[in-house]
Amino acid sequence: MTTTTDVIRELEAAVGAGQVLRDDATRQTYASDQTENPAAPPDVVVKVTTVEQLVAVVKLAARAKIPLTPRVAGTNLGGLAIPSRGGWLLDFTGMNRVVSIHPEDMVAVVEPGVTFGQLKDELDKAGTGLTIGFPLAPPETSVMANCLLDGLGNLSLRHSAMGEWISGLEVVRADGSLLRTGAMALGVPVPFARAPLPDLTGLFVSLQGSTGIVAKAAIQLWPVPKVRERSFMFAFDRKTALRALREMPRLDVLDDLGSLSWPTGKMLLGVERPGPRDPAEPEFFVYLDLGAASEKLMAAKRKVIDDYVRGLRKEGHRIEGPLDVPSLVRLEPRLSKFSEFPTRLDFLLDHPGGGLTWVGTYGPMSRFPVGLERGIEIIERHGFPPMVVARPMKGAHFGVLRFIEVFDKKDADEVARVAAANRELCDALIEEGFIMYKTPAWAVDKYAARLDPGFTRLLREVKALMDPDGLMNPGRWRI
Amino acid sequence: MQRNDEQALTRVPPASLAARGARPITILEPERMNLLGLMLRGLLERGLAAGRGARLRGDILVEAGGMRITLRFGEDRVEITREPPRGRPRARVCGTLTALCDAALERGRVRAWFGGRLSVRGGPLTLWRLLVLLRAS
Repeated sequence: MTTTTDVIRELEAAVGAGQVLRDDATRQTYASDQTENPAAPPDVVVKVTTVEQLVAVVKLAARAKIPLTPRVAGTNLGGLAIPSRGGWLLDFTGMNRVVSIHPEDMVAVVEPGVTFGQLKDELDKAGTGLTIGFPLAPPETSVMANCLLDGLGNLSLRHSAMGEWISGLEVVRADGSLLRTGAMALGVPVPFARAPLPDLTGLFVSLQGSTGIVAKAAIQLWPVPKVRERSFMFAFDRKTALRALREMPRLDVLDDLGSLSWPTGKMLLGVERPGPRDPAEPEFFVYLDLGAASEKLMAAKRKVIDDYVRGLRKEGHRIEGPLDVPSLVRLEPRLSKFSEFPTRLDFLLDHPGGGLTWVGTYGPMSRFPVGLERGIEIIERHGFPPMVVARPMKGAHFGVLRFIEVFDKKDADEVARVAAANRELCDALIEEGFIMYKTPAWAVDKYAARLDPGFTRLLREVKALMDPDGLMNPGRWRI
Repeated sequence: MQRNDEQALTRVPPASLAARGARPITILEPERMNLLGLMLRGLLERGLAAGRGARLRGDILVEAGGMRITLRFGEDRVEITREPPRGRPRARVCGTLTALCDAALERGRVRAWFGGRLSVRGGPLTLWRLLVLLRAS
């Protein structure tokens, strides 16, 4: 269905005339993201700022049979906010209230447009002593979107993927009706957890807006430790790095642990296209976050880390450090990108070619060696440096293994190569037991034949129930 | 660290180096350069811009953590390369990455430089000038 003049008039009445944009330039701005996914403009961009407006827009879209695509920053790197069938793109950047903060219960209720940078500022200004985990995504990324897409942050080592940090939702369904989940469903004063009611929150996590549009999310927060220290170690080979990632969580002293492969360090230091690695240089940079209630406890935690690293060296592993980040910043100021989160990794986001994409997967730590080996072979064979992020999550019950490529969006050959690399990476990593998160539509197509028939059947039934006309971010999880 | 300090410590543009009479620094084959060379560039730029190391000349070999680079101090420029020194180097510094970082951070650097954590060979004056140049300040 197309947007008729009458419908536009009703839309403008719902959100304000200046909030309905149909010019080509604006539509093209929302047509793409940094990835290789093909551009596809919406028919109309609608800027929504309140839940009342959202309800009105959704009801109108349902009546007029118009597809809806929600978007905030569009930094998901999966093409998930690129409309697959035109329709209306709902820009939520202006729907950005921190509705409430409950400091004693460590939970905040946020609207979709609340960003990591904004939430940090508000928590700090209010003197809450609380924080949320931050991804490596830029500060303008939506907190809610990252949680709903089950992304990760720098507290995921302790607290798992961010979908688990949601304690309740307020959702606008495809017919414009509202529902609440988690503790919010009973209207209790504090939305403290998803438990113990039946967990309908899961109907909206990782479904990429295809079952409803979330208007509010209650997100769990954590105390900021009194004493904090971030440091880096240099692992000269992947075996050492992976062993540290697998074993160090069990020391039970770390708040965060992760590793970045050598091309990331070089790009940070100004090399746009890193060439072959010097075999003598570190293959991975391993970063550690320690937090403690006192200097005494911090000293004890440092000793545990030092003893562990010394043990690795005694066994012949080549690993240097830890070196604290402030000292590293004195040596090389550009490392300040890793001093505080949220951060903006401009060498990835703002490089001349403009293209940034990845295959990001979750999988078991035991399979990381083989997943890494296969992934590096594939990415190098397609002509890209092996930019890898590997981090344990939830105490190393599983981890994230992510292969990142930067490319020139204006170079058709590079776009084709990166698309081919990503598809091959997806296939190889599924074989090794890894599953893509923030799953792009092309990867869902690959999963379709492998999915449990019962899972597929129920997913179809849920989507049909929640969105009978197929208007909610259509094209997502179409199996 | 305050934001203005960070800005002051970021890469010194070549024009600024020249304006201060300091030699510009070039990394030869930057896509192949290793982490050691990339990190030393920043230290060298700041040191040269501050007027340190102006009299250093010749090739100096630096090995840290197994990585190896040559610093080539010419009359009008400084080059960082993975190629070996041309002939016998004026000085040679060898040790772990951590020891080199500690020396640059002035954590017991004199002891590190001359007392064992780093292996140093070459003219004492050259070594001293290099030590002063590579201060992280």
